[in-house]
Amino acid sequence: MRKNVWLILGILVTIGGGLWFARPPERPRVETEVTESRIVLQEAKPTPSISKRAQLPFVASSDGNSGLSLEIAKFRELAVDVLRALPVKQDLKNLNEHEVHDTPKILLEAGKELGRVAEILNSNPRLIKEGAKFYRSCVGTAKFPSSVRALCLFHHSRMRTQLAGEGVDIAGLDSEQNIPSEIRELAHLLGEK
Amino acid sequence: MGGCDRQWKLAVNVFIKMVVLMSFMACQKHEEQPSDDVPIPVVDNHFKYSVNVAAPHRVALDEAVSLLHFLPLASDDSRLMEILKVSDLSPSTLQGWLEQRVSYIVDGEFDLTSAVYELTDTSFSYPYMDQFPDPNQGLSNNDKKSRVMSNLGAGIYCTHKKYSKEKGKLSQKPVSALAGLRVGGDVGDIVVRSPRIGLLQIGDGLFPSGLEFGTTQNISQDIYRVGTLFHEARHSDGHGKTLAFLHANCPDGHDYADRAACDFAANGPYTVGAQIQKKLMDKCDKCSVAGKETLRMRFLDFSSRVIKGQVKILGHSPESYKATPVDWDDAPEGSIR
Repeated sequence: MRKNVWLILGILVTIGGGLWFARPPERPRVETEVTESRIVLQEAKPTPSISKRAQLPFVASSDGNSGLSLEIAKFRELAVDVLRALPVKQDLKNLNEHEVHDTPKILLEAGKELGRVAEILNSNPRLIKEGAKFYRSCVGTAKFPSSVRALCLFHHSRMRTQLAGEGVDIAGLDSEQNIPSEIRELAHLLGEK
Repeated sequence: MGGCDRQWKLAVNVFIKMVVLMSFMACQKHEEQPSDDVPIPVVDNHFKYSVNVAAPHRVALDEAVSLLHFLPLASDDSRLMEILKVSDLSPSTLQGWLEQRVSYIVDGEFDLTSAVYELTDTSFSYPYMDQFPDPNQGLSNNDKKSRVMSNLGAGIYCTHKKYSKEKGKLSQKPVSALAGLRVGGDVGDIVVRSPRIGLLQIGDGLFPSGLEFGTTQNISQDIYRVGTLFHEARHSDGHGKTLAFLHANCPDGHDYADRAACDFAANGPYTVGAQIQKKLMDKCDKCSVAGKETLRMRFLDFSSRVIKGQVKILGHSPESYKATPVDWDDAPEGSIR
């Protein structure tokens, strides 16, 4: 009897340990902090609490549909992770001459991170309004490199247009005013045929 | 004893459920991988590789060229045709454009200092000896780890042209010191009489790990490499002040301020790489969403490097001015094979 209890405990500890080591790495480099209208990235601080994450501006209240609520909650978690993973301008300044000749790896990785968001939005159109809020937060973060902000703006504009076409109230989604002209011009290039 | 059995069954039950849960999580993780693994039928090209270029890297580059045939472009972009100075964007025209500017590919370990030697050819003289690119412009990508690809031939030509000018000043007679290179393998020995020699060096950056960009038969990464090839190919062009379409220091406030990672030319390497990559990306319906997003990021990064508007550039004369990118004359100098 006692032998079995130890065996069970051993198995549980092994599994628990395995799950602990298999957990995704945390990214303590930047922290998201909320202002009234957008996310502000700050220097590395302890990881924000879940309650703080829940205040992010693109984390709007759900509309009562429990399935959708769950999807929105999952999307918000992902959105926070992705925003934290994106590089800031200072990261580019830290690269050497050779690393900036072609697109630096940290920007390609940023593309991959934004790809995670795009994939989910692509497969779940019900999240499009959440997506638009996420992209607006990204565009509004002046610390992000121009290419990152322009890519976010490209998606934000498309989603805003789509939502307006569907008769969805987009009053809560900022327009493109106050976005630097070079970011707008860059995003526009992506839409050109 | 019966209680013990129950505990044992419970433990086994919990264990099985956890194993099933972990397997499910593993499967989900697997499904997140990009799905743009597409076999690209390889089309012959004229590239010659040095012996040390790894077989998978050769395959990857051959695939990239073949992609031009796999995703044939319509000749509907007059601006791109103007930039490349071609009459259409058919696969054979684009491959031909590339092969005029890229001939030899060496690996990242290729040791230039031991391979290069100086030779004198009295029948050769450098043209435009009184015209050189601005001194703050350059080609810089010599670090193997971070190098994606660099146009070694154009760099060697520029260096020896400049060296010949200095040497001529000292001896007070025209000097044309040519660079010879012992490359070996399929390439053999080559003499650099023009930036159009088309000698490229690849680096680890062309096969970045952790981005699903490091393997072959991935259509997004093939598009990425086509963009790189066309970018480097453009460095084989130009003469005098436009020689090798050298990069310029980025202006104040730019993400790459004060680094030679921008172009003054509207038809420079960053534009060429960005435009060809975008055309292929727009055409690609087999690219994964994530793969396309990475390509979009690179297109925007390249496009942001064309200098325009009111700018201030360190070392440029005048330092502050309004930059308007124009097309540079792309006619190459020197004698082409």
